[in-house]
Amino acid sequence: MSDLKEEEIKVFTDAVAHYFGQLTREPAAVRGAYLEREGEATPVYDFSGRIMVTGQYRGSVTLSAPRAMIRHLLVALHETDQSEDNLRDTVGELANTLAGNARKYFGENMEISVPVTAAGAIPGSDTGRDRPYVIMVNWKTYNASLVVDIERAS
Amino acid sequence: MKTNQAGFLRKYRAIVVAIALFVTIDIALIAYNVTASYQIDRLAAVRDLSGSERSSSQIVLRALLELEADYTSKGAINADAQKALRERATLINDATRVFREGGRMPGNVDGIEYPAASTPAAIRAAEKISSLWQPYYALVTPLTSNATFDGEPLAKAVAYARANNGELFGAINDLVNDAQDRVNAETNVLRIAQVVGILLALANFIFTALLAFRRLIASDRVIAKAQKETGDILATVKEGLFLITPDYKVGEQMSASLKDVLRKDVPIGQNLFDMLGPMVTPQTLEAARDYVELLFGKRVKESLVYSLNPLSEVEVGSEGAKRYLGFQFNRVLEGEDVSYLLVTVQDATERVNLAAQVAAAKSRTREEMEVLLRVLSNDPTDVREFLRRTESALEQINDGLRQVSRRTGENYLALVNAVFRSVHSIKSESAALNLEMFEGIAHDFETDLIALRDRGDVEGADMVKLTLHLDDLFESVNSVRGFLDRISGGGVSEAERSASARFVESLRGLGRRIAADQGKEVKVTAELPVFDRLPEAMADEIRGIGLQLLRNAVAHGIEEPDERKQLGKSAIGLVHFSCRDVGQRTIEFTVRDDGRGVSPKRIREALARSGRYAQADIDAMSDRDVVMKIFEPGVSTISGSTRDAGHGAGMDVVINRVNALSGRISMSTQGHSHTEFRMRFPMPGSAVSETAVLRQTA
Repeated sequence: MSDLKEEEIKVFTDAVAHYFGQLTREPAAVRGAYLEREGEATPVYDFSGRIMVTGQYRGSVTLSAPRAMIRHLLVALHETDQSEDNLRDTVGELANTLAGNARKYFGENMEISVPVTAAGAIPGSDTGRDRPYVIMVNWKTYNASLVVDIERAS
Repeated sequence: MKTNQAGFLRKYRAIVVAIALFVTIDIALIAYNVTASYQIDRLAAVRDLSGSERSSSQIVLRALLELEADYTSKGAINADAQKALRERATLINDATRVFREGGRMPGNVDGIEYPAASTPAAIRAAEKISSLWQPYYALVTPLTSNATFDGEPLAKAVAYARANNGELFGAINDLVNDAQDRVNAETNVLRIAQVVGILLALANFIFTALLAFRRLIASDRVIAKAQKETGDILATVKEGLFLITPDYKVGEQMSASLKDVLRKDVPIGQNLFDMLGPMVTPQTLEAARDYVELLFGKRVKESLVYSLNPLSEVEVGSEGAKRYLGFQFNRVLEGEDVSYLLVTVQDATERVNLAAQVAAAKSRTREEMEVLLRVLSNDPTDVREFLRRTESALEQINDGLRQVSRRTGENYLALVNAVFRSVHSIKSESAALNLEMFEGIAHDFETDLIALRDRGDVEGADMVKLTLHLDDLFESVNSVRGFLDRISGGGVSEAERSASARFVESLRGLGRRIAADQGKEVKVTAELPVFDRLPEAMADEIRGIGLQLLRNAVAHGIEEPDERKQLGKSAIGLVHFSCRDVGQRTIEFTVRDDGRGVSPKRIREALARSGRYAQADIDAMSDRDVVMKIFEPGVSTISGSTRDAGHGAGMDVVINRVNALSGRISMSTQGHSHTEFRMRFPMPGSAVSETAVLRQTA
């Protein structure tokens, strides 16, 4: 049996869905999910935010979203600052939400790092699984990727 | 009880001593008061009597003078004076005796026992009175009783009186003064004793009060400290703690973490079972009631019924937020009676989950061992082939998932059906090789897919579930492949056997396994002269079709041995496979069983059960149309599903594979005789492309 459960992955997808839902009243929806082939790169968009986890689970969870999506989100929030820094901070905020939800669900079983953000891919990926779970998330007309690459430390 | 008394006395010794001293002082004071008062009364009586004696001496003198005056002037006796003389002389005489000797007055008229004179002054005065009074009384006595008397005795008496009255009066006065002095002295002593006694009592009272206050304050401090410690324990302890009264009410003290553990507030005085009611099933609640009643009774030992506690590990919470609570009940005894039950509540979720994980790990290890043993029982080449085919199918599924997740407007249901067909084939193949681990995972995968298919409204979020199953299968492929690599020293087994031989062995393995599961007996025969010449991809598809049709034949077609005997058939059912070249670059693959045949009646029932068709539509269908419905997904003639049948998926898989090979399929069947599927496939490269044609012989 897989070492992760559906509800454990759902913790992260729900975090993203609710984030959009709460801020814009239009939640993001999961469009689909698949396993990334061993050694292949996961889908990367313009801005990425990642949290690293240790403890009973180890690996990382990365959200990557296109520039247009983040800009649209800021417009929906009546936020006029569309600078690169602010776009990147917004992805960091999303990653923070992932961390918050994970803390609530996994409690002391999961130690979670401060989110790191990058324009494009985040270097130094610490792969946990042979085939990370790639979950494609959709908001309005945009797609973002959520890569759940954590495994239970046995 | 004695121990309690001893403890009480030890604890309050100082106060008890102080109170005893207080009582002793009071009693001594009262006793002294009584004694001193009695003494003062006697001395006062002496003073009064001596006072009477003193006045009597003057009355006697006056009476004598009156008698003399009357006698001289009138020659008569004054009777009143004589009477006064008699009475007063008698009183003086009696008092003089009493003062000298002690005792009561004649007739005891005042009821007083007079003491004899005791002080030197009194003794002297008493002696002097007595010496003066004796001759005086002797002279007076003849004058008191006679009606007549001579003047001479009277004159003598008067002369004595005149001569000695002053001295007598002085002596009696000394006696009076002495008595008065003693009364005064005694009264003073009594007053001082009373003041001292009262002061002592007051001091004792203050001491007792101070002692009591000190002890009270000390006790209050101890109680306050104990209460603070209890409060600290209740505020800090992680477990939920509270007491239950004999009428099952929650006590006033409870740990702060109780509401966190229970995830709700617990009002003081709430009935225990009202509190538990919304959390547990009615059966558990009833069992808990019996258990708590048992603990409040005296008949059973707590340790003996410990294992009966129905709440030691109870599941609470709704779906998605399930957790486990452990309630422990301990008696709190007062003497021999159970005054309370101490209830300890712990969140046992982690413990239960850990136990489940350990059990799952054990089971997984056992399963893996089982798999490895089964792998060893197969030809490694067959297993490697299976792994290759399975991995290829899994990659296809994953590609499907990948495409769907990146495009809008995708038909998730179509994807679910496609995935289902692949997974079903993997399940058939793993069953053929007796690889139960794969079969189990594929079965669970199938179950979730069926649930999605039946739900109809499939969405993107459901794909997450599919990736989890997919990951399981990928991991299984990897682990078995790794195992094979290890036992072969990293190389591939070269035990070369023909594809047809491996196919036949798979068919026989699957046939045996399904027949055993269903209590049937089956023999698989095969003629596959051209199978080894087929391209690998085509052989793989035909192999999948064969395995699925065998599954159907054994599960649906072949009767149970008893039934077969009653029908005059051999108890062993027969399934025959043939694969041959029929010319014009066409391959014919047939599967025939000698079972009960396909029954239009049973299919009609299955269609009705599936809810996809109205009864009127089913009734309107011809038998041929009805039989064709077995190729539709979701139709099965078996009402309950097993791992080999009942999902209504098998024929859908077959028809899809036939279509993938651009082949056509026909079926002939006869009740209690046989069912035969005949398929024709063009060899790759030929331009044949025909639509599947169905034929049925009733």
